[in-house]
Amino acid sequence: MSEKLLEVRNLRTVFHTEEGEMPAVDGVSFRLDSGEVLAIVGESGCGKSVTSLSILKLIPSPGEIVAGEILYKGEDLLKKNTKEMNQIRGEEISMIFQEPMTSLNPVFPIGHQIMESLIYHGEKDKAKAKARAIEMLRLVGFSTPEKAISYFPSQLSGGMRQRVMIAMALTCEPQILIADEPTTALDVTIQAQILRLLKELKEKTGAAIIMITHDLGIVAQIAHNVMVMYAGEAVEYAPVRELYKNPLHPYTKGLLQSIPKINEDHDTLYNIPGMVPGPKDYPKGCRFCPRCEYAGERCEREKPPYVKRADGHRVRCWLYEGGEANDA
Amino acid sequence: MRDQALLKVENLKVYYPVKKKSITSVRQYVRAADGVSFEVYEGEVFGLVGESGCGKSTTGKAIVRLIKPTEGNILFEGKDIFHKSDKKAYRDFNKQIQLIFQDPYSSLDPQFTVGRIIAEPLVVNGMTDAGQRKERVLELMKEVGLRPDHYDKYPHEFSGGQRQRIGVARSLALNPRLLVCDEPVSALDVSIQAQILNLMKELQLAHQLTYIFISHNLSVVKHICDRIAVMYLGHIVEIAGKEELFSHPSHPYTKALLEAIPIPDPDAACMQETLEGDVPSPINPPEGCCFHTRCRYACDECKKKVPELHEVAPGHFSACHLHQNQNKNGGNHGNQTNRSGK
Repeated sequence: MSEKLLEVRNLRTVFHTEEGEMPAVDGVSFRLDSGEVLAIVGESGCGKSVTSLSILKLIPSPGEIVAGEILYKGEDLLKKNTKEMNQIRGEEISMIFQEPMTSLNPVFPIGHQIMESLIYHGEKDKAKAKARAIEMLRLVGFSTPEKAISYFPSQLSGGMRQRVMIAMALTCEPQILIADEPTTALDVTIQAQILRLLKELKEKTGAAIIMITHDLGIVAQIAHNVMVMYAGEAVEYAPVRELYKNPLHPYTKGLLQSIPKINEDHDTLYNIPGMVPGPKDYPKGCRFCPRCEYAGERCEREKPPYVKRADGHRVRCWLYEGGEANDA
Repeated sequence: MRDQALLKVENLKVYYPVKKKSITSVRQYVRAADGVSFEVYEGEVFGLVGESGCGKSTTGKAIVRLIKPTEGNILFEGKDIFHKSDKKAYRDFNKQIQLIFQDPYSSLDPQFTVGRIIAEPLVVNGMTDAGQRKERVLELMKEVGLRPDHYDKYPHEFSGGQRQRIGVARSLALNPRLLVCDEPVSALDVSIQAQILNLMKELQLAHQLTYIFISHNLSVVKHICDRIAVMYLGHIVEIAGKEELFSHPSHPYTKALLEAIPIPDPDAACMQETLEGDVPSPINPPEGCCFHTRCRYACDECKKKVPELHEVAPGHFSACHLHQNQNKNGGNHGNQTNRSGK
């Protein structure tokens, strides 16, 4: 189970703008084992989507991956050229995008779009590819997949389109599936269907999933491990139960407290004061420092290290210096 | 029990015509709201929940007179809001009901400064003295947590949360009594969402405001609302007080909605039984109960007869044949698992 599949080391992706280099992802490291579901959580602008796009080297200009390593089965993806990457995209690592409305091509039937990646990755027999497309559509819950392959995206509802996206992503049986907010655009009842489908498919295909989301509810229900990002950095990493029971970083604590919960009652919600800084206003020390209630002088001056504590819990905060428990 | 309702919506129907495919085809309509009735009392927060296309925003828009209903009445303090004697009567009414929009990015004019945006309703309603106006705007800005130096800035200089504060200040400018809030926090990040929700609660207490809070997020609705109506395909399927609705949901759709929410606790049981299928098209809604195509309790009666809202417990109304029949047979409706008890 715990075979290392992907390791990201010190990834740094910047966007070159007129105002200088904007680090969207700034020194992020994590690993993904086979069969694992890793959730990357954070608010908008924290770099979670850029992290996932970096793994597939899909960063659009003026963005650039300037440092770090992305080791997939021991090979550094950043050293691969476009041709080699194209072999990996879809076949080894594939992605489900956030917007099912805009990520499908409106002028091709969905069957064609599913077959495309199969044919690209070496399937010569069109009939076989078609059979596979039908099989995939059945797998994601289309009741009449033989008919459905000739549908155009405009004939489908949002939930159905997202199923097509999932079918496309899974046709080549990738080792890693990156799902970037796969349910954000969907209604809750449809969201529940899609999440259940992802869980089932994971059992069937054994793919590892990187789930990018801002919804801590989804994370709790689907992930094994969670990485919390803030302002381009990973601030906390822990197994899911550990994170919800024992959040360490003040930002994670704040996030967990600020969501209204359906099973609890609060008069006023906790809220984290202020807002997420943009890349050009990142503080010198800890990036969360201006919004942190525990912030001290040291937090303003120096950047806290990303320390590893017992049982795999990692945190970037001066409160937990030295790696071992010294709770302030 | 309570005083006269502040707002009363009676059998509201809003149909949008669909473009004809050919000249001979029959004109079709999207039935966005199809017989919606409810009452809102002074000082309460009334929630309208449902998934996209259920008609919650349409209902909200009809209440602020942004669209004209096909049928039905909306009474504000007992007076019909669509049949006023003259322009002045409309204007007086408009001051009392204001709207907070969903998208803080597109609902503020990018060419206006913050001060101008918030002053706009004052200008329209005849506050001609510029000094007085500025004073009022600064007062409002302070109230929603904006600094005075924000007065001359433009919307693009603000983040989503700050913009939504501007939107809230603008809606408060005329001292309205009823605020229709159409998904005011769904475009915001969680930490910012909490700030805006708290602000709205504070303002409500400070000004004795009444809110109609439209949202698809049941957790948010539970946090802020007193009474909640659940909508599905243009119909209200259930209305109840917050506690009652979450502890004893009666309609199968409400139960499914509650079940579908991912709870931020890895050990909580949820999303076990999910609804199958999609919401049917509001152009050709199913006959009988609009939910029967996805309901796991659907019987023959549901396919033929439209269920009416009826009281299953004091103040708790549900539109489902199942409970109507159970009640007739002396059955109980409280056999649901209590999710809020944890």
